[in-house]
Amino acid sequence: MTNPAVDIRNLTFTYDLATAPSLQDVSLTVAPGEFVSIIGANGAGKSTLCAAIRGLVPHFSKGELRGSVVVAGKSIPETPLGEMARDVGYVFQNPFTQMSGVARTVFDELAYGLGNLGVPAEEMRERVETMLRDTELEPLRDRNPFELSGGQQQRVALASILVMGQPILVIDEPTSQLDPETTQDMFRLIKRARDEGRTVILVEHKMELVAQFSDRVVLLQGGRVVMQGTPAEVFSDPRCEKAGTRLPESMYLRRALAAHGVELPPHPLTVAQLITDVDAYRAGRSVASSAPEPGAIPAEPPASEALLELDDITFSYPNGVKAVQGVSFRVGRGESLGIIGQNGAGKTTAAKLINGLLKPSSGTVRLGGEDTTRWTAAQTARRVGYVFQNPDDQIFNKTVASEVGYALKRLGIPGDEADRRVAAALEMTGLTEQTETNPYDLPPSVRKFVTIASVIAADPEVYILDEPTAGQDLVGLNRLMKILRELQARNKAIITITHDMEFVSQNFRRTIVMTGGKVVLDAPTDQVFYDTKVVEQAHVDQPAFVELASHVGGAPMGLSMTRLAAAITGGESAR
Amino acid sequence: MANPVHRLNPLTQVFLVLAATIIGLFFGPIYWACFFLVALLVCALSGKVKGFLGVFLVGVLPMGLLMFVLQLFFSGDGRVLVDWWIFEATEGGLQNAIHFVSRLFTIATGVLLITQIADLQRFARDLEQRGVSPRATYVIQSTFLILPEMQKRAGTILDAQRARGIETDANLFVRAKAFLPAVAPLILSSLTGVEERAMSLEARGMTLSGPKTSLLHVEDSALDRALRVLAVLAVLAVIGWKVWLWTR
Repeated sequence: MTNPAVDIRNLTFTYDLATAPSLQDVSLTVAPGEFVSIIGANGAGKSTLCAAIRGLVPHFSKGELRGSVVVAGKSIPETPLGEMARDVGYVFQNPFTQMSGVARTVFDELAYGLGNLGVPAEEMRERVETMLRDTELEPLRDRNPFELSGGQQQRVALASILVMGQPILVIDEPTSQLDPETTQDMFRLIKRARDEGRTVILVEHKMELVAQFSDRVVLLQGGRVVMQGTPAEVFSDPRCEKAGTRLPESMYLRRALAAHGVELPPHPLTVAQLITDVDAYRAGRSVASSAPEPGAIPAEPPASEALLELDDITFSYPNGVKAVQGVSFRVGRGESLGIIGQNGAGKTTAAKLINGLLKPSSGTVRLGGEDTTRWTAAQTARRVGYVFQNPDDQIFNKTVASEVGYALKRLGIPGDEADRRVAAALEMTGLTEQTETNPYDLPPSVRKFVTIASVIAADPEVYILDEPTAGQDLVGLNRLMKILRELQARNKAIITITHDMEFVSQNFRRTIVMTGGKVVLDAPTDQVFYDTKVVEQAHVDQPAFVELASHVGGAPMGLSMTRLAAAITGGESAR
Repeated sequence: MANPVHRLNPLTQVFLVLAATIIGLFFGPIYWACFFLVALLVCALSGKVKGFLGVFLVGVLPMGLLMFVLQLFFSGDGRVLVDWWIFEATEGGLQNAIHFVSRLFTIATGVLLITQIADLQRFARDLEQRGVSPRATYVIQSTFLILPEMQKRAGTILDAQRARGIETDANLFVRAKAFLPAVAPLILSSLTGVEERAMSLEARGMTLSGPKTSLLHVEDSALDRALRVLAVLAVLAVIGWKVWLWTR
């Protein structure tokens, strides 16, 4: 019998200064060539477990380790940290900090690790060339790694590890900042590594991908292994949702269909499986498939009063790159919409033009009928709140309350009023219990809510949220959806930039699709994803619902579960 | 590697420029003018004239002129050349000004020249070939490559603070108030970033034991060694000559 790639027994680890262990009595064995995903809510101990496999815990992040961790036959506590580089490759979440900082080209970046392994120059060249070809990074070979987009950097980071050829790969949330297309690219590379016989240990929030690729899924909760098994075993177990993790979207869809009288086999792990199940169901009932018909459900009437108006906005960066070209749209009070498109489509630039961080080269932005061109960004910010993608771009106060109240103090809001607003914003974002906590003691996913709270406290009329769902678990997503509903009820306009198509389809009535700096479609969400030409052009994914509905075909059903159920059953049992 | 200066070993480049600069400190403006012309020629061969002249004209020249005026009017004595209001330029002041500014320009020319022609990657590799720890050369290299990234990040952070109503565009007082919100997140996130980068370098085998290899091999020819010896000898000769003059 071959030795396991990873053999962990009764591992308990407590970080220095921490009051409770991050891992408790964890036992896990991973066979060579196995693909194991570790899932669980934020703070469950997933990253600590990955760090323990590589030896970053306890050698780099210090603490008390009990139990045994043996990786590639070496005992982690007794093996110097550097030595594990021959056996374990590690890909981190943040693309930027994975660039070595000493390579001027992507080629050199890939060669850096091989140099540390002592690979002769000629072999190094060959291996880098092959990896550039295999990972389709050849067009970027002479580019400065720091000048690449986040998605490109993450692909380079993965390639830089793959080229080193370690038999074990630990990959910790590699796609949390990536668009759907780059996410697929990343997983194609990870799958390829597995197919070559490497052991893969993955942490990922996108459960469709976990279900699709994993041989085994390990569920962590509060630092303990709650259960482990095949994706079907784990995702079908009620403990999974109780632990605060999402399920693959296909399973939610099946559940919703069941509530409408469509009984399908349990636990479809992928949309493809669900489609097969639906086909079988319909075949059993002799319901014929039909081609999707053009047309759509009538849209909501447009908002009566335009609060925000963008009129033929164009913006060019000093290097001449036109980031936004001829963009026009209106947003009414109480309206919420999603902006989608791949990285570099101009979404964030458009948002910065709205809140005055950038000034348009031509065109106008009006807020409540007033031209904002001459306002400073700070003046615009009083009416347009912007939640940045990375919360660490703005957090610096010692407590959550002082962070949330900082801008109010600077804006001269009287103490009592400021306190009241801070308390209300903390309550709305579920942070009341963390009022006196140092924000940097909270996980990044919760820090995001600190920045959302500081915008809510300032009480703007328009909210812009940049990638609010990135890195959020089920608890975080639910909290976010609740906040959006409350803001909408207060008649606020909400613009959300996101790569999460399920989130868009479930939360926004209207969606703007951008590509190449232009708006290619501005339409009700229940129509947008059916426009396959636009979906393809913008390199976005169809939500699971639309994928299934498009397959079922028939009369336009938008995002209505009732209509989808009716189409599947031939109209008999839809409730 | 198109020209002979670039082909030299990086350490030789440093020795030559350093020697030329040190020698210049013992001489006056004519030496500086010659050094400047040679530097300009070397930069021209490397296609770096724009960078060299740009920094010199924008940064060094105004500072030199200011120093010249200050030395002229507020130092030295002797025959009065100009007497205007409370300002008095003397012959001694003029001599001080010329010496001071020519030394300043010599040092600036040396620094500018080396920053324009030196290839950091070759320099670091050369140090590694001479036995310097890769960790030490990493610090040198990464500092230069990461600084522009820090600048970009500072811009993002400033944007994030402006986006929540903190004025950064107005007068000095307003800007001063925005200092903390702009700098604190940069420092805090840089600390986190350093930790993350250190971990990812571990993953790439930075601290792995055993010999390391590189795609880059920096030659150290007999000519390089001879030039370095010559540079040292030239400096020693000039110092010796000056000492002899003083003690005579």
